[in-house]
Amino acid sequence: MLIDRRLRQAFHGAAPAVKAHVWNGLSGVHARRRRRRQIQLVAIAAAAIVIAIAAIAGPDVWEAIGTDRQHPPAEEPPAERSHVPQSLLSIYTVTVPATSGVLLKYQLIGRWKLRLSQGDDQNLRLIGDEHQSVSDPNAPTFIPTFEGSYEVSGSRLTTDVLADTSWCKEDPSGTYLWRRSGSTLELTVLEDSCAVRRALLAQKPWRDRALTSVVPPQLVGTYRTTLEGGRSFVRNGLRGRWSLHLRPDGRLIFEPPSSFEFRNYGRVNDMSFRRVGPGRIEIIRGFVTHCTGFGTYGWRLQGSRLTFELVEDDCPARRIVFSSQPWLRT
Amino acid sequence: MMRFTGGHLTRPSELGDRRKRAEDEFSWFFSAEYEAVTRTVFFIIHDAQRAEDIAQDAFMQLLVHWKKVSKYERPDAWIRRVAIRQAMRHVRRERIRPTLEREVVLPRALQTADVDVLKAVAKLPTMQRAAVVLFYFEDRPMEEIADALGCSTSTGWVHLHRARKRLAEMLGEEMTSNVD
Repeated sequence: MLIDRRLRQAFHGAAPAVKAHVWNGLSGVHARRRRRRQIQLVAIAAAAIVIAIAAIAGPDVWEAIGTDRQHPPAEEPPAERSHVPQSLLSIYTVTVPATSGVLLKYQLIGRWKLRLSQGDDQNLRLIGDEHQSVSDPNAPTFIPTFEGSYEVSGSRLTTDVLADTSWCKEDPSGTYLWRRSGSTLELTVLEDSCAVRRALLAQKPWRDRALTSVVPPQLVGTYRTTLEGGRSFVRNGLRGRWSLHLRPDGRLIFEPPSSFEFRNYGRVNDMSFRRVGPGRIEIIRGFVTHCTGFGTYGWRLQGSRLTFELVEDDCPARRIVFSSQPWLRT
Repeated sequence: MMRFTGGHLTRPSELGDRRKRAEDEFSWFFSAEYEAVTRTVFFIIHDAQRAEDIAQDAFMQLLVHWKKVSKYERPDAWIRRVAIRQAMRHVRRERIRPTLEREVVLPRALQTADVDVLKAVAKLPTMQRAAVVLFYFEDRPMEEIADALGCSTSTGWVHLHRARKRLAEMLGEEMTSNVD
């Protein structure tokens, strides 16, 4: 093998194993800056005191000054927090066919919902359709619901859902590779000895329920806008002519200017949206790969002129491209 | 109350908006670049905890200078230059400590990776090591690599060619004269 290829493969293969907790890192940066300010203040205060003493008491006092200086107390390390990519947080559905061996055996066929949530209530929930016992048709119907915790590390998802059932109590957790592609989620088994969980989670495809098309028909079309540069790198890097395709299937597709530099933003990708109220659009995810959060905009179409008004959005680049200039239909 | 800033009269609410916007942009830039910078530093120094420390220090400096750096075309190049120089200083400091003559111990999580390559890279001189990581892992052009290393582009190519040659020898791989 050529040395160049082997080096690239080795670095890119090893990269996912090097963990960097972004939220802890950001807290760490702010804590460092606070410490640095405190140290600077202490140093300035100490220097002022020394100068004052020296001015008042004269040179003899220098010998009496010790060199010990106490550092400000270290701050508590930020609490460990599992960071789940926004692109994963949603509700997915799948229909388990009656041909699924182990799931048929335990009457787990039919439509299932998979909900991944974050925050204080971070959990993975599997909710089945209303089920009727096959062995006892007179028994009341029931909705099977299973809840467990989950963690995401890069492309791996580990969960202990179903660990409290007799099917999985011997193998409390399983690890899967997750992959989002368009409106679907694929979970591929990496390691899971529980056959029921394996069969249920690895069903294909889990469809993102939130991505159902609700695009107002009058909005569908292609729009263009031209952005001017500005003072910050975010705005400067976005300057040029942008195209926006609003498709009836609920996707927004951006075409960046030819001068667009991907490095500061990540790749431009499709964006999905849903209407959350009259004249209002909620961006579920997307635009550039570095925009991972949600955004909400109001929209107004007057003739061929489409304007987006910012309601809230954590992503500065998306804010600029969406709402700083009107878009004209082509 | 109005404040005079750079030739414009600015209301306090506008100042607050600007500060909020700057904070947002910094957080956004941080979340986009922090992992990549940490990994790059890790591949140079081979110490995961220290790599996070160095990356956080570099971003702390960026935060201090954010008002200025955010106006640059390429703040990502700036943060790499700072982080890589700190990483190289760290490697030089550690080299003079006799305890560091020991074999490189990689974290457990990396044991499935191509450990031979990572260990071979760790044996390279600092500049060569940084050049290899920036070129093969970050896919940065040589102009940027040279800028981060504080040398000319031609010197950057020399570091990279020497590193390739040594790595090819250590790993028993083929090497062509052109970098792929």
